[in-house]
Amino acid sequence: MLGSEGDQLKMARIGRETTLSRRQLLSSLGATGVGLLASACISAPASAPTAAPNPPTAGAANSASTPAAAGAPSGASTPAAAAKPSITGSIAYFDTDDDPASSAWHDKFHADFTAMYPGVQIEDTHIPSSDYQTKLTTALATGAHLDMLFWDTTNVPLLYEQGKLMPLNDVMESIYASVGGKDKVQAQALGIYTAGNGDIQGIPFYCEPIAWWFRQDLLQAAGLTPPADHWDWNFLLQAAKATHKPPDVYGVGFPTGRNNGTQTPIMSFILNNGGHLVSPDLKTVMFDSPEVREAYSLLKELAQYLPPGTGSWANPQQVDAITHGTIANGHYFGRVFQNVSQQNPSIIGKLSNTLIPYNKQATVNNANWGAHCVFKSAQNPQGAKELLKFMFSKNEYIAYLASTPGLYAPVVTPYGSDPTYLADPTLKAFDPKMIANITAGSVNTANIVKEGADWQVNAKGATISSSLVVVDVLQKILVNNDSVESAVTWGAQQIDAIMKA
Amino acid sequence: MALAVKLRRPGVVRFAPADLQTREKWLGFLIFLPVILVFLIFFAYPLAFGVELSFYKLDTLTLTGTFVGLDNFRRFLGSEDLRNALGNSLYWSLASLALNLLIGLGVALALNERFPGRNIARGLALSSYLIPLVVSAAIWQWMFNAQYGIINYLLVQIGVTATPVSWLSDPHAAMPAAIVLNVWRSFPFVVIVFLPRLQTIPEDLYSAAKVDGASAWDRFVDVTLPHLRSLFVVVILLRFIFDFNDFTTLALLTGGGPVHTTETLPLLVYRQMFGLFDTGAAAALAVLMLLFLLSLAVIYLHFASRGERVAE
Repeated sequence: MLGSEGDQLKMARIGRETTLSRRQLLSSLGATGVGLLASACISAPASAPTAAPNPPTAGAANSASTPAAAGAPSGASTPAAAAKPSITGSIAYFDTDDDPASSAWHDKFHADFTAMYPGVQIEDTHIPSSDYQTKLTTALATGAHLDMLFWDTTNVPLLYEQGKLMPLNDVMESIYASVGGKDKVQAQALGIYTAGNGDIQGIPFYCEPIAWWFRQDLLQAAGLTPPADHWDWNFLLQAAKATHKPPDVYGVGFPTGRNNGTQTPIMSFILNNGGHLVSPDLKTVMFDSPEVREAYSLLKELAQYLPPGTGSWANPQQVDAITHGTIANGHYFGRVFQNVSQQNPSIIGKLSNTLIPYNKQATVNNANWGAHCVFKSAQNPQGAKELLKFMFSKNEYIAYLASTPGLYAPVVTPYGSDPTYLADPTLKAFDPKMIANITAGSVNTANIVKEGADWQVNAKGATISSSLVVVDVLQKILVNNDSVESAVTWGAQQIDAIMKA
Repeated sequence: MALAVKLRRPGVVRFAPADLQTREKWLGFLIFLPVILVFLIFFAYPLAFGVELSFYKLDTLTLTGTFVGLDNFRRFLGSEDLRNALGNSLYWSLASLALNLLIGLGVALALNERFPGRNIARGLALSSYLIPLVVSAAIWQWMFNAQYGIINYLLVQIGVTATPVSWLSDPHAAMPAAIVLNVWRSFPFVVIVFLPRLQTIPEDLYSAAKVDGASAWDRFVDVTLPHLRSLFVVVILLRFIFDFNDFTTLALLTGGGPVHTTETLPLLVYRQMFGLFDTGAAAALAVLMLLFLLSLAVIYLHFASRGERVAE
């Protein structure tokens, strides 16, 4: 039937009439489709790094090394800048700084860096920390172009163990030189990111210590005088009970939802009570212990003073509750300074903080150290390394600290007490002791990956953390009303399974 | 017939029938080749790759691992995690489906009646379907909020409860609360499917039934429902598959908590993949989900087609 006269299509083409059979038309369409598909497949190779538009000439490089000539990048006067290598191309990385102030710092930092290195483009993606693991994991699994990344303590040892990261000892040495010596760099941070063979797995950047925030005005109104220094659990329970006046204010607040925000206070109380997930040599699970059970029992007791609905809380709800005075006591990072300053300055002077309360004796502070790492597969490793060195330029680093005042304890300890940083108007509004407590929280730290000074770095800590098993244990106790003993025993079995996997 | 005569006019066909048949076969193949290629590249390959992954113990972060055969399947079959997630998935999907059908059909019937402002009402009825899910979830999270949510406020005000209910963190309330959001968001789909068909049912049938003394219920059962029968197959199958595979709603609203009481199979896959970094286990679960859905679809379509034959 095809090809018959009645089946022909007539097409007017440039003033003359051309006849085209349906067969010819369909053949053409089919062939075109195949052609287009084939060309689409062929013309989509793995994206090559963007060519540098203006590779710097020797003269340009020389002129750029002078801050004034290069648009005066703020950190250009460092030794790293003085011995400036020639780098071009793009540098791609992910970070967790998605809030406006931190994003603005990155923009300025990149502008300063590219002013020194005009042939460089920086492709930085800000991802909220709640989505970071999923997106980074997906990016890595799908072979996305990444030269470096920022991540916290939990995951870097695993990546290094799997051979994904390059050692950065040369970068660290350069940073020592630029900041005035190795003794200026936080030793614990170095310990976490130093592999057994001495390789530097990542360049630690900062710590986000956790403090215990409390309303001293409400405590005084309840007839309690907080200890001048560190609280213990007894006073914590007294304080929660005395300040519990629902629905106006609740005695204590912490997330109990299934997320990382809940994991933070649990691990804080476990670790500073001398509890552990695994033994120092990582061979034995130590979770099912009196210290861990005591920590969960404390949380269970505190739970009676929680506001309703903490089961759907995560970090944002916790900081909101402290900022807006919904709770009288609760843990959180130093971001509270900025939030209170911007959203509820009326409680400045009424709010104070201390280290996370201890049980029998003060031990360790639960804190993560974030670090930047460079991939072995990086297309621009030299560029990434130079960018890392540039981050430690004094002005750039202090500008980063000031982007969220009081949140970070710096890896380069003198930067934290630098007058320029301490003169920040947000910090000036608070009692200096509160700022000092944040710094104190970065000393003698432990976390899920390195549970103490004598503990080996546990690469499986990443899986334990993301499995949220310690949160599941709390939920079993609070929601299912399981006994602390049975829930902790269950948790130990889960951790054992992860360690053996 | 006229066309057939016209097509058989002599002199136009240039090839012998066998030659023509061969060329037509190739032409047909050529025409469908792009579709076949797209299917192979974007559906068959990922599916086969997913099945292949399920036979490996594979670290999500580094994609390194070893072949473990059927170990991933053995681990899950009969496990508490799978039982819990499957139970939650069925609860979530079937309750959502029942409510969707009930509310969606009811709204479609109402919107099929003549009343002033009907067009505006039709537009409003579809509005929840147009709101992005992430926005819907945020809105409902606030409405369900134990301290500040309007639902608790109203319940306390009218004396239904003395203390606020922790909707999203109570193991008994979390799933029903999530189902409320899901139905609120997806019932317009059912309306969209049923309403056009309702509009095509001849008025004469209802008039004749009335003359015969049929009540409103009788007219619904004997006139309306038979006309909607084929659509029920589509709606039930599609909505069940949509809800069974839905990850976003529960991930945004409850994250699978509290204590895994709202963890459906897609959330369990996610936990294996990004919580335990076990890509192989996640792939095995996904394969099991696929097989389960396929078997359900086959069974359902078999009964649906048999029902239609009986009806005919």
